[in-house]
Formats: sequence, structure tokens, C-alpha cells
Amino acid sequence: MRSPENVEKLIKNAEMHSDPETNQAVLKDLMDQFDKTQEQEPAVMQPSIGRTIMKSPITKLAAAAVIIAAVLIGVSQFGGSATGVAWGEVIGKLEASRGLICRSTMTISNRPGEEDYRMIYGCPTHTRTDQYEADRVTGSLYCDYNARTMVRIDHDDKRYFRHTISEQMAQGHRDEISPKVWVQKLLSCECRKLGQKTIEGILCEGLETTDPAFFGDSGPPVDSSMVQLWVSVETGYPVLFEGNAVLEGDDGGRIEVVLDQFQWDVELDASEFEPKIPPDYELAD
Amino acid sequence: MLEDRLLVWKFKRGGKDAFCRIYEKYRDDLLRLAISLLSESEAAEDVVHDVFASFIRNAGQFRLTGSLRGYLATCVANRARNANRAYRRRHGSRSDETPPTASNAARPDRWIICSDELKRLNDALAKLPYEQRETVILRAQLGMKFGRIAKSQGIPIKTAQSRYRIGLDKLRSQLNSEATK
Repeated sequence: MRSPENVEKLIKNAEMHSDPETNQAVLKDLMDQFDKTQEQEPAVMQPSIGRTIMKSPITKLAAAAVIIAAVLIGVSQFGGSATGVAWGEVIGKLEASRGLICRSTMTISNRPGEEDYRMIYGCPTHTRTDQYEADRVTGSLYCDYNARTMVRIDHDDKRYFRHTISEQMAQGHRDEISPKVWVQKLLSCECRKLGQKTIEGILCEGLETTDPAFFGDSGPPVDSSMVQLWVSVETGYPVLFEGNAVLEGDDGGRIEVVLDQFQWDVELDASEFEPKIPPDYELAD
Repeated sequence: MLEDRLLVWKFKRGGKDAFCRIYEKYRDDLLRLAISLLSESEAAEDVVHDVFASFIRNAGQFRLTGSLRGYLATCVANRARNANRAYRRRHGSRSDETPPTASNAARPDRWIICSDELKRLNDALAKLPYEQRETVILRAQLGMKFGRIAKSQGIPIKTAQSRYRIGLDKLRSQLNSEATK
């Protein structure tokens, strides 16, 4: 006789498979639809055409024919002037943003990179940075600014480090990886307007500075530098941040930094900032 | 899930690989949900296909506020509910009658392949009134909270809890009586 718990388990675990060939055929059909929506950007509403891959080719052609021509959209103007970004409001927007995700890529000439890029996740009380190499997370750094703890996980060596940090260190780390602080610095420098351009389908307006004050006293000494910030005209949020600097000295290399793939004002669950340490990892001193 | 947030971000910007990953990641869960809700393979397969197709069409407007799995599962549940209503309208059947269960061998282009255990379970589920069946599946198969089930069905939480309890009891009786035959 089955108990209620047993029935619940059965519902959860009863096995089902999907046919691999049909999986690929359906995926191909969906990819075709994906391509069509990309061609017709912005995405247009299309009547539900059913699982056309299972049906006749004529139906597929007919379905393709009903895709309507792209709709031209005007630029939304909230949060800015009639034609562009209200730069004075950008910092306010970033401060009000609950959570942030972005990608950071840094290259230094003459030095082989140990990582391809980092994904940064942040909220007012925590940050997490995942280091990627060949699309694999090789290391993670978790910071809890309230508890003032920092946990670093090194996946290659299966080790992790746990540190208590001072308030000053916590603030320093937060500033170092915070795009908000970078934007603040840029806006406080002497800038020139770059006009508008479309980046990944988003109409943006840019600012550029070559002011050495951007790096200030805390950064590395540089011979020259250039930093550009591109902000969405529609949302007022940064879309792309690019910077490069030639380091001072004879062997001064060139550093390039790109912050992109921004997601602003996202709700990030607290559990995303709890260090996930596999059980076979060792605590290192 | 942070991975899902990154996938959605890339997908919304035209990332085909990101869509492929979403499809591979959630396809089987959604097929399993649809076949449990609808019992009938072709209808279940159409529902899942249409959910992915709609996801593509509406990528521009999509904003992930909870879990991607939960969002896609809710889409499947909504479409399955509509498909069930349409079936009842066409066949003039009562709310507790469902389409006949299709066997794996029914069609050469089958997508869903059920284990014998799942087929027996779906036969028993098909005998429950649709609303009870949906509640039982969303809760037991997906682990969805009663609050969310109640919201998606437009009913109070207590009604969702009672539908679950009664539905699970009936299902248990069905399965136990099958076992003693």
C-alpha cells in the first residue's frame, strides 16, 4: 500500500525521456523562429503556429509568411532630456538600483591572462565575483560587507580562504569593483561628449575622459589613459564602460578594461551571495 | 539562479547559444509537466513547443523576476489549462474527463517517451478533476508553493491546499486499487 509520501515521491521521480532526434528537430524549428525574430527586430507578435516541425512544410512556409514587418520605435524619453541622457540623474539611478550584474574583462599587454572574464554580482550589502576561463568558473570571491567577511574559493586547487576584513578594506573592495564608483569618478573628471551610437541594439550616449584624475592617487601611475562610458538613452543606465591606460615607466604595459552585459536593478536572492563550498574543498590558511 | 539570469540576458540580446542552453536545461521538465497535466502526448508536445516559441517571440518584453524554471512551468500550466478547456468544449465533456492517454507507439514522431511507471501514474492522474490534478502536479512534481499555485489558479490558498490534499488521497486510492488488482 502506498503512503501519501510515497505517492508524492512517485510524482516527483517517475521517469520520462525525450526522443533525441525529435529534440534536435524541434530545436531547429525554434532556431528558425529565433532567426526570424532577430531579422524582424523588435520581436513581433506572431500567431501560435503549433509544433510545425511535426507538420507539413507548407504550413511552415505559410507561418513564415505571416511574420510582419518590423515596427519602428521612437526613443523613450523618460529619465532624460528630449534627445539624450540626463547625466546628472545617472548616479541617482545607480544608487537606487537594488542589484547589479555585469561582466568585467581586463587585458594587460605582455602578460598572459589567467582568466577570460569575471561576472560581478552586487547588492548594497554583498558582492560576488566569479572568475571564468574557457566558460568554466575557476574561482569565486564572496564579500559580506555587514559581517566584513571575504571568502575566496579556488576551484582548480580545491581550496578556499576565509578572511575577516576591516571596514576600510571592505569599503576599498566595494569601490574597486563597483561600476557606480567608476561612473562617479568619470563624471567628476573633465569629460567630452561623444554623441550617440547604438550598442547591442540599445541607443546610447557617451562621455569620454582622458583626465589622469580618473585614476587618482589610488590607481597605478599612468602615462596616458582614456575612459568611455555609454549610457542608454532610454533607461539612463550604463551599457558599456571601456577604459585603457598605458602604465608609467619603460616597461609600462597597456591595460584595457571593459565592463559590459549590465543588468541593473535586478532582485538578487540573498542565497546567491552565500559561499557554495564543495565538501571536498580544504580550508587554506 | 544566477546562471539563468545570465542566460536570459544573453538570450534577450540575440544569443542563440543561450536559448539552446535554456531549451536543453528545461525541455524535459516541461514535457514531463505537460504530459502529466494533459495525459495526451501530442497536445502536451504542442504546449511545450508553443511555450518555447512564445518565449522567443516575446523575448524583448521578458523580464525575469523569479525563477526561469517557475516562469516556464507556469506558462506550460496556463497553456495546458487552456488546451484542456478547449478539449472539453469540443467534446462537450465534464471537467473531470480528460483526453485518452496515448501510448508511446501511437505516433512515429513521438517526442515524449514515458516509463511504464509514469504511464500508470498519468492514467491515475487523468481520473482526477483537472483542477485537483494541476494542483497535485504543480506541488508534488515542481515543488511550487501553495501561494503561487493559488495565484495562478485565481483561488484562495486554502482552496489550493484542500485541492492538493483531496487530490493526493484520490490518487493514492487509485494507485492502491490498481496494485491490488
